[in-house]
Amino acid sequence: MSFSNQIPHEMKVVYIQRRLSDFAECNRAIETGDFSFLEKVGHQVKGNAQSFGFDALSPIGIALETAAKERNIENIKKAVHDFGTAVANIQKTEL
Amino acid sequence: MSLSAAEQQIYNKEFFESPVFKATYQKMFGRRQSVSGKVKRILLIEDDIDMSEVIQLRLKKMYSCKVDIASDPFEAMNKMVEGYYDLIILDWNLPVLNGEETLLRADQAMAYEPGLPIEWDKNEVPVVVFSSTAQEDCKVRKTKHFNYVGHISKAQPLNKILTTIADFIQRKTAGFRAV
Repeated sequence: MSFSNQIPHEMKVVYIQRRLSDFAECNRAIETGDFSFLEKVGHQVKGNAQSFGFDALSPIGIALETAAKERNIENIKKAVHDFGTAVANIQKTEL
Repeated sequence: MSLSAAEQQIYNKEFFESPVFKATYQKMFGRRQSVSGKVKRILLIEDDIDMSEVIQLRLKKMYSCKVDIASDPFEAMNKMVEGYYDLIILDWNLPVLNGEETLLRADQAMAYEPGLPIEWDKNEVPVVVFSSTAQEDCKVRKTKHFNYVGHISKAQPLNKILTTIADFIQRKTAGFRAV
């Protein structure tokens, strides 16, 4: 059974657009102290980034989920910053 | 024997073929119609829209099966009461309830649901847990309607995820063939 070309390019583009939206909402969540939202974004990125071929985002998702669980605001800010940088980089270089 | 005006109305062919009659009949009896031997149905319970869209697309292309998506536990319960599924792919970390709670509540609710499709009374539907949570942390108990058959990690390339799902489909549901 062949799974070549498994993810259409347009789905990858939509995936990255949604992550850019997540990044903006994560910054708002930091301001409002919405740790459950930050944990959810981290958990989802941890789970789905590799499936879409964006392996670089997985460890950032893990870091964000962990920091949000611990309510460690410094680590959350770092993870969200890294997340935004990595997503912007993917958008520039891979799409 | 001639029919009275009322009887003629009852046996009116136009009435039985009217959209109103068909819609009413479908609403009253359609849910109990068997789906065995027809297109296989998969329920994907997943709140991550990126994952659910791509898996739905690929499974449709591979098997021509019908993949319904439920993005939260309550939507999942509604879908399970409305139709029978040959396989359930269940995300463990759902909003509000986790995977096990979702299935336990659905199982309890289905015991009192009069309109439940008859297949639910005859079969245990295989359930595959699909999660980035470790396998040892998410095993579903067997219930009247559901039977846990395995775990798929989300944190792996899509081709591996699809291969594993395909394996469960082929093992647990006769008649599936990749196209």
